[in-house]
Amino acid sequence: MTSTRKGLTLLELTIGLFLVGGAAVIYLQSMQSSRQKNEFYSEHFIASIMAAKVVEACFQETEINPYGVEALGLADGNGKPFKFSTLVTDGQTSFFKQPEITKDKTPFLYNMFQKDFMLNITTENSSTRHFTLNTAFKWKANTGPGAFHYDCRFPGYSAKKEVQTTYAFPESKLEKKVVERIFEEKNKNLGTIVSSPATREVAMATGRIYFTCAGMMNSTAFSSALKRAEEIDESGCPPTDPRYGEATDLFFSVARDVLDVLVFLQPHIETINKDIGTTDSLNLRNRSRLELYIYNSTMGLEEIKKLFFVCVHEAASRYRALMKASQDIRQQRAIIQRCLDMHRLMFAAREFADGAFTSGAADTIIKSEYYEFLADLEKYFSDKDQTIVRLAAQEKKFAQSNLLTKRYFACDLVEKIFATLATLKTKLPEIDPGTLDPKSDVIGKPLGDGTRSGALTWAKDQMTNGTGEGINTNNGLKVKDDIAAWNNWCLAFVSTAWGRKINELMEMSAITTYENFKKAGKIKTDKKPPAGAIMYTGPTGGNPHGHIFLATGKYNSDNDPIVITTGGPGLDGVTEMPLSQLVSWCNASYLGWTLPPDAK
Amino acid sequence: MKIKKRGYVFPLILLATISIAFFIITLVQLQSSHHNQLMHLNSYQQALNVAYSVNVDIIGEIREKQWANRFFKGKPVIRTGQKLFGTTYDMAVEDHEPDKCTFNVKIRTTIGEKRNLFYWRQRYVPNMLDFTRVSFPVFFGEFPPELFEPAKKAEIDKLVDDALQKAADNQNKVTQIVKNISTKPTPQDILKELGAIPPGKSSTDIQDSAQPRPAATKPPTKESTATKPKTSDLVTEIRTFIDPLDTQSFPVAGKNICGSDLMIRDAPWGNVIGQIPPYTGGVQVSGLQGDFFEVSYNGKSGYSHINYVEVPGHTPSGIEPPRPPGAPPPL
Repeated sequence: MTSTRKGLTLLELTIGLFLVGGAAVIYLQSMQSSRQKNEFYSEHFIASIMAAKVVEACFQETEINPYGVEALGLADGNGKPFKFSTLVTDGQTSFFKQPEITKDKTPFLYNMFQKDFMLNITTENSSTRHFTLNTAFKWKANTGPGAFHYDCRFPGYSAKKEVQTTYAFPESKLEKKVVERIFEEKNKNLGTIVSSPATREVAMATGRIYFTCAGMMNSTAFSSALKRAEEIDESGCPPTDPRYGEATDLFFSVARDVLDVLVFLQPHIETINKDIGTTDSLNLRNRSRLELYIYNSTMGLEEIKKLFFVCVHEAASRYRALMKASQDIRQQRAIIQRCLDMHRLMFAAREFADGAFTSGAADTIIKSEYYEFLADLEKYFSDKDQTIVRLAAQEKKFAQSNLLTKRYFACDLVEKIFATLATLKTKLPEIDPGTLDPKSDVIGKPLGDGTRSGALTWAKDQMTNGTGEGINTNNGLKVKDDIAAWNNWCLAFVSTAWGRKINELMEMSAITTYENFKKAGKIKTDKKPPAGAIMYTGPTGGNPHGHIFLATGKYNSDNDPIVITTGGPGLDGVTEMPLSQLVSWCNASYLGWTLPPDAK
Repeated sequence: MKIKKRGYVFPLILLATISIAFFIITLVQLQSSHHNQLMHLNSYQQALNVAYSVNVDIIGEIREKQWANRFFKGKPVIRTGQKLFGTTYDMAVEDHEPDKCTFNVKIRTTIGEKRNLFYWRQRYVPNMLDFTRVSFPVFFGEFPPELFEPAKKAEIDKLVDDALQKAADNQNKVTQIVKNISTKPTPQDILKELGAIPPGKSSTDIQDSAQPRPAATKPPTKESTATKPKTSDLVTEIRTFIDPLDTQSFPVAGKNICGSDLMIRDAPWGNVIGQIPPYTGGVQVSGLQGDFFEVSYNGKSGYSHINYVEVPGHTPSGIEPPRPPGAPPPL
């Protein structure tokens, strides 16, 4: 009989159950272990990504902001690093604010980071070159506590930057140039002309300033950049036109070149400012020559400063418009960095920006445009780029607390350059323009010879001690016959003194001749007319023609120019008097002066 | 009675053992792969952090010593076996085109067996108006680590040059593409324009691709309305103080523009030793001393005032100059 067993024996069943149970236990343990390890790796992985995000955020911040470490809250106002330890959820750290890790938006991440997931950042400022950031995450996982960290360096803010200018006058040629051009000597050492070492330094500094500025102003690249920029500017092309960008870059390059020259010259401006008093040790001729060059260098720098403000303001203004036209955030960041540098410099030196604008107070314009720019940045980038928002907020704080000069070497330097220049201006000597050699061949003649010395010599010859031979062709009179020969004939007198050779003076009224010169841009309004210059006062109720007279090139003790004028009501003859007295006599306002070239 | 056994146990054991073995192997592989992935990510990030940090230090060093005194001026600086954050690295920095202030930085990191070579070509920004910017990268890339060796310099530089040239060649094309897609109203249109739809897919397969693109917002920043002097007027004003004559080269030919004889003196404001007739050219001008040109005319050499002598680039004022204080009176 064959019996076929249909069931399992108890032994088989037991073995089977053991095997299945064993497999189940191994399976469950492996699963449990795998789950824990996966969780551990997952948390480690996320920590690594998050730490990389912190590193990237620091990179983004410090790329555009030299005080980025401070803006991120990792260092205090003095650059002293903080230790930083915080949770990363619900916007508790600036690194994870955009997007925020919240229960609603990112529940998985949120739950994970709630497990004592701490971000610790230790910053060291061990060198001026950099900050070292240790970005660490520590957490408590089911598998035990986890930890992860990255080290990375970020730029620290170094106070200095070297300036290179291609316009610096070569040192090897400077002494020879100073000797020849300033002191009118040849084949001599400066030491044989100027014995005082301090004065020699002043002379060399003056030469460096003057000849460097001359080199810049005469450079073809510099002049053509300015010319082209102005041409495009006048064409009024919009920011979308490529020429707009071209002009912007040209204004920037001019401002850059000017600033580099000013920074290069800064120690030399200081030298003159410190030792200008030592020029007294020179003989009269050398002193007057050096003083003339100091005067011209300082006043030239003063005008160059205005050019700097105009160009830098124009460039900043145009970059702002270009930023609006650009949709590339990288390009916008680059523009912002450049614009901020320009605004910072203008803001720091705004006190010295007089003459940079034709209307409105420079200080107010610069200040309001800067704040407006910062407000625009804060508003526009609030949902796009937090680095810029933080930068703008930080910048506003710097500006409001007058910290720009403390924070940025260039701002401090530029402010100092302009302040020194302003001080130097107050110390400038009065420039003695010298005297014209008298023209003996016009003495006793009916009119001058068309030169300025001829005009002056002839005019003096019509005064009380002169021959009085000049003829007023309008009335046929001479002073020698009638002291009032030129009374009320001021234009005829000046025109005759100039030999009746100046076309602009061939008019019926003095004020018309003034208009002629003014239209040609030849009128100067200061009270420093050179000898022989033609001067004007304006019309009055009783005299609609205005008044014209001549400068002697001399000044009284109040620095009032001495002029030669014809007579009129209450004043007979041709007379010398200070300008202020003449203005008072005419009861008219002073208009200015012009000096025509000698007639050909 | 004969019992026929069916043999359940052995196959069961075998099957269970194999299953468990495979399962465990799979789990171990999976965990190992996670571990490797994490290690790889960490080591790459660490390598990048170290390379970036070393580059930060190099820029800091340039800034401290300034460009003219840069530590690699004229000869490459190579430092090998350096340590930072527990990582070993080799560094090489050298001038590229010094007149354009460009320089190359190569940093090779070693973490375990893994090596990475990072390459930066950078331009130093020498002007003060960009004062917060010391340098900017012209190129950044990663290359096979063996290209770090000095012998391979030409090879790696060529790769960089080629990449930059390619980028420059493609610039117009890129600009055109950007221009073309900027006017497209939907993502679908952009994908079509770029030819970026994968084979076998249509643009409609991509979610929301037919939805209009949101309008781009623009920063509210604007131009200034403040009025300023014309720069050409300022230049004219500057030239009243700074004479353009000081950059004149000599010798040059000059001309007397004076309507009368122009005096030749033996020194600036010295005695008259000769004359140049009115409106006469052919005056040899060989130098500048004070406000006088050194001139030679008709065998006479001496000095004539710059206000009356025309030379290329200098238009004389024609205004009679006053005798300066201290100059000897005329004879």
